[in-house]
Amino acid sequence: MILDLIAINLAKSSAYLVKNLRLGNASALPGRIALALKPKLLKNFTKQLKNSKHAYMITGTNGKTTTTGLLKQICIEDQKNSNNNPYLICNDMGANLYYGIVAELVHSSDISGLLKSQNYTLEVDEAAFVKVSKEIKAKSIIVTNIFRDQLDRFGELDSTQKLICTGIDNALKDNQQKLQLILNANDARVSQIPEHLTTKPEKIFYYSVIEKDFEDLDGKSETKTKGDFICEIIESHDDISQVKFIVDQKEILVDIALPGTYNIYNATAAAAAAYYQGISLENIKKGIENYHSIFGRSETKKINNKELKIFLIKNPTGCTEVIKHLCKTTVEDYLIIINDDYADGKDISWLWDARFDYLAKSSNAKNFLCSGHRAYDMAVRLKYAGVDSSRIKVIPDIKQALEYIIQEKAQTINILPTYTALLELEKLI
Amino acid sequence: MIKIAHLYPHHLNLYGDIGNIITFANRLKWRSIDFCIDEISLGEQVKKYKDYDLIFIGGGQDRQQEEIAADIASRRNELFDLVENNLPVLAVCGGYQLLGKYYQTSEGHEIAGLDILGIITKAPSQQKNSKQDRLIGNVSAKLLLEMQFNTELKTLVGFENHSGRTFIVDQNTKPLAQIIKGFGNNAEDVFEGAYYKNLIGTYVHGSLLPKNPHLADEILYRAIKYSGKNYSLNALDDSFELEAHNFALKL
Repeated sequence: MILDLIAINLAKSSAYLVKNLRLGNASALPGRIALALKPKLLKNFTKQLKNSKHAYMITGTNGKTTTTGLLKQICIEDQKNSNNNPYLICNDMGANLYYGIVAELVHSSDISGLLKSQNYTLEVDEAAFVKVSKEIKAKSIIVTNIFRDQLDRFGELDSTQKLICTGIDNALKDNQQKLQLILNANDARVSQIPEHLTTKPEKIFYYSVIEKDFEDLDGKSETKTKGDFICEIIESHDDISQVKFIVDQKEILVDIALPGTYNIYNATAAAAAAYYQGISLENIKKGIENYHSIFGRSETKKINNKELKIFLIKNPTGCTEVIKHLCKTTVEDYLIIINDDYADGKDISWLWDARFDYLAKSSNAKNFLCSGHRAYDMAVRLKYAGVDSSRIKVIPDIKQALEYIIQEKAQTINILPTYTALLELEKLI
Repeated sequence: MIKIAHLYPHHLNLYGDIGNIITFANRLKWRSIDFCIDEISLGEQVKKYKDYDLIFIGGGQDRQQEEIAADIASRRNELFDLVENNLPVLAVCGGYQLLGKYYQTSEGHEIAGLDILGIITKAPSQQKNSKQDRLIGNVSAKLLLEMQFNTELKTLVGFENHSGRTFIVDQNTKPLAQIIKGFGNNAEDVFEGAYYKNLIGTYVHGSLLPKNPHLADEILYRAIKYSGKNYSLNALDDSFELEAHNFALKL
């Protein structure tokens, strides 16, 4: 018990130090410290999470953070109406590895280790999911999609599917009646998951989005409009879409103030999960419409009257979706920041699978500044995508690149950072 | 016109393989050399390898490699004869393994390869922790290939990610490069890749050719020679490519 206190408090103060020394978002360090001091710490937390009302875990290649954030907002709306404790444990800054999740629990506990809430929505990295799902028993697991993402870390693509299946098998242990699986019917690798499980889950719900031009690079996903929870796209614009959710003979119109088709998928995933946990469509609508995107996933920041529009890129499918969206905007100046740390994926060959040629052909996109550890690889990628070398500039140092572009360039700048580049950017803005 | 065939692009397309095709295309276009790139997919036997001056084959996951195995095996002799006749071929990762004599699974079964390149590949014997058994990371190596075109740059850079261990077993097949950093063919000897005549196989992606422009030009040079056409490869401004290459050497 004493050791618990020490572990939690040391971890908490490390988070404080990290934040205040502007080392970035505290992320995983407190989790490492806490677990190093007290390996069973997570058990003590999970005991407290046994009777949660809301207990969601989100995994998959793309859209985890946004789906998690949307679910959080939906739960908050739901809690508001019922006058319950609105606090929700949520790692919506994207720290989704094992230690990051422990850090989030440390952050959400008081000095004696008591959690502020039993409710949580946690995004979990596909590889970490195997371990986390053994220890934290969620009531609802959402799998967004399985695309090509950081293959160097996971080996190959189908092994990601295997990892998720193993994770779900772990989650099903002693939890078969309670657990709901929320699966994307539009993604063949996700919709086939139940076939690969050793324990058959009792409650599987499929969600699907009816749309036309979603591109799966692997060419493998068959489009299935079947599903339990359907989203029909009514209207889609640059930064906002109107959709209709249809479920159990009920329907509701919802505005999604986020760019791109991929965010419609995220909203549908969150809505389906919430609905099957008993949240009303009205509160789901409120949650989605009151959601403000987390820094970096697609957010606008203002510095010196310049508008910085930030879009996280991390794998070819997600990046191509972002590019397709950006091609529709009139922004001329781009800052693309490519790092190759562990959390970004050490292998940057995915840049070649992302369709930067769309951006090269766009009549609006004019100037490209490349930055980050692999700035020159990005410059080469743009050159071979068809951007004339004279329109490509390289400043590897992120701070200098940001200063340059704010000083020299037009009113609005699109910024595309990888994950750790985003964290660095966050310290500078 | 230089004719390039891209084999099974929908099945074998891991790790930015398409970057190699994009590189061939651009480096020909910038020199105003006419070219075409044909995709040869499953069952397209009407497209004959002999109609091409250069063939590229990438890597896939196990499942996708299995799907194309019989198709490419049925065309083995067609390819073998042309390679003997100096057709330039570039094979990366899975495609490289496929051209060898056999692949030995962790249970000891031998799966026959095309037997065009004098290599064999073995799965790691202990499969318990398959993630750690993969050879993954940045690679830099000294080129051993006798360069006919650009002899200035002598290194090769990129990224590798494979579990198979490849060994050269034929004296006519030579190692492509000598590892400076990374694992290479098998993490035991110091070699990376292999070549026989104008057939080049390698584990290096990243993509391979964009930041190894000298190797891209070497292959194009051989393809032009093979085609019998009279094109010349004039010098290009490779400053971005070389910056990326030199940076990767320091990783």
